[in-house]
Amino acid sequence: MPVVSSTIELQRLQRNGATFVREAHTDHVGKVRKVAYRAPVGADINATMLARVPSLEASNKSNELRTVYQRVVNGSDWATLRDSLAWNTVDELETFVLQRTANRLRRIDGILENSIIQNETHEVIAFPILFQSSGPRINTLLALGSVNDANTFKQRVQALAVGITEFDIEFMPTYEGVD
Amino acid sequence: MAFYYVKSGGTATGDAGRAASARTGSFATMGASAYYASMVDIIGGGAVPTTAAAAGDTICVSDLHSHDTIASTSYVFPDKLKALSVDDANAENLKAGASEGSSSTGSDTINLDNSAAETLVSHGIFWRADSVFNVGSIDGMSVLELGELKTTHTTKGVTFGEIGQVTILRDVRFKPSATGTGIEINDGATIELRGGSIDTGGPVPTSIFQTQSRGAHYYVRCFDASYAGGLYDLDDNTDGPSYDLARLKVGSGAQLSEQHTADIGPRFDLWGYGETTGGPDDYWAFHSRYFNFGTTDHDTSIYRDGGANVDGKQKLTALMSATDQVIPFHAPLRFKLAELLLDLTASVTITVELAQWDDTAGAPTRLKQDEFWLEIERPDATDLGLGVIDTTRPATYDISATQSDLTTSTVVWKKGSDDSTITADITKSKAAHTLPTITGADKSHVTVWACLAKDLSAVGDVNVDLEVDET
Repeated sequence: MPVVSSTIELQRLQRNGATFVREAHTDHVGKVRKVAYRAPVGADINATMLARVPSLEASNKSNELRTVYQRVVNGSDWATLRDSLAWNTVDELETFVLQRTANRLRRIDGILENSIIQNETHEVIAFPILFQSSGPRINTLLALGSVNDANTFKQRVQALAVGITEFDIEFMPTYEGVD
Repeated sequence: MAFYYVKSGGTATGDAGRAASARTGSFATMGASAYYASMVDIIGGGAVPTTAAAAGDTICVSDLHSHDTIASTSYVFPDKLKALSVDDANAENLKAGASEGSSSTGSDTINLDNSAAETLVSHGIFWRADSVFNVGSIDGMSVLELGELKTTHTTKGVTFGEIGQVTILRDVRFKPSATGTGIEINDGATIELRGGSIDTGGPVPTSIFQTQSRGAHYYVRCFDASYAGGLYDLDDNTDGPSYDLARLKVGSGAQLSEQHTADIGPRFDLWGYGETTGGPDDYWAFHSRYFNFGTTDHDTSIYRDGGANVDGKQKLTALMSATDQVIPFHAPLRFKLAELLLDLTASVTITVELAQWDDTAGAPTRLKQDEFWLEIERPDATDLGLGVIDTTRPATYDISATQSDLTTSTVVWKKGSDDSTITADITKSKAAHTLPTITGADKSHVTVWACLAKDLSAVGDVNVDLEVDET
């Protein structure tokens, strides 16, 4: 879904010839994103504005994933957020969730054995989103039954994450007894 | 407090690369059997030394050292362990240049980990990750000096810490490998950068300071961000991160800030920065965003004729752009107009002049007392420790009544690069606002806040200019 409208809502010529510019970019759900910058002397501010649109769309997409993830971790309702995605599909969101989870698991694996108790606390912090979530792959994960055991949990995430190409799901065996 | 020695090619086994006190002289003199092949051997899971590194130990890495893990690796720092790049010829001297991490497979995560309430230290080491790069752990602290942080991940930059992590960086260079990468911090995390820069030559990062996390805080001084396309990039940001930036170099035409009128947004303050266009005026005093209430910019398009000096040094005019999120009387766009050192043993009057201006829409409706006011924080004459806040906001507020207009003023403003005097269009809209005379006990710092609580986007913005009368 694109940015549907881009306008220059403010331009002020400064004494050194630069122009203070504020752009307003409206997306397909009506959200307005304003960008401020100073254009150097001779710059084509309309071309700059239009050239910015692809990067805004890309960041809208990636930022929505991170924001939804963070909000669910912080206690917001998964289903509500999942059903109101503006820039991503549910599948893309699921991929992101699994990806984040795998990265968290990988970090936990890398911490010393004498910190395992603390690591389990980390897991509690890191993974509530999975237990609140629903989607084809996450449902598969939860349908497997209890995931209270950290090692089992990791193996299941690993299996579900097959095909996600952006990250490496391989866990690091840095302390005895894991993987 | 043991010392461990590392250089590529090292063959030390057991505790052969470990010393009870710091060695002097060259690695060549030590011999390969007296140092380990990599930091992985010591804190990366290699477990080579018989005696594992413990809290407070030091790892001395030759500045000529280079190691590619060729695998995802976590370097786990015991509390206060120092990883130092040292001179290959004189191991007792610090010298930046050692390299650790992954740089060849394209998929290896590198973590620099510690535990809560613990501190890790790295000095002069060039860290590499060819995938995700994480530094620090929940509620821990990371201190990195000199050296370099590089990730080749396509969408993620270097991520500092987990929840509550504190990171202090001094003169560290970042090497982004993709336009989407930057310096990221997490929930409630704080990062402090003093000095440092972005390495040039690779992809230009769209924005360098990235966070989506609640309560995250950036404190940045003297950082060269001129290679980045922008300073920060947020969306759906209701989490209120804060940015306190000063003395930065930013790129020509770089995105300074953005705002989303539907979200709360961050508090963003950038003080004293230059752009790479060059020239004597290539210096700007401030760019500030106060949540979703709007932005304030150093502006030279309209300025006072013979107007105020701020801190007695430079004429400054601020362009305040409020949004429809501001609420009259209660929730203004706030901007710290000046921090002044004033002699309060004599009476001092502080005045702020306003100019509302629009090239096409004609004279705007003059602001009212609940739409613009001043606040001054100052020491009290009798209770020196506890300051007081003076304000011109009405002390009583009748919510059923229309407030009075601000006082009109006769000062002259000028516009644009040709110094033309603004006349008719602005006569009806300019207004002075004067605080009651303030006095105190001594020469003291006084902070002046300007508060604008009306969205003027339909008819232009507001320039404000400060005047202090110490007579």
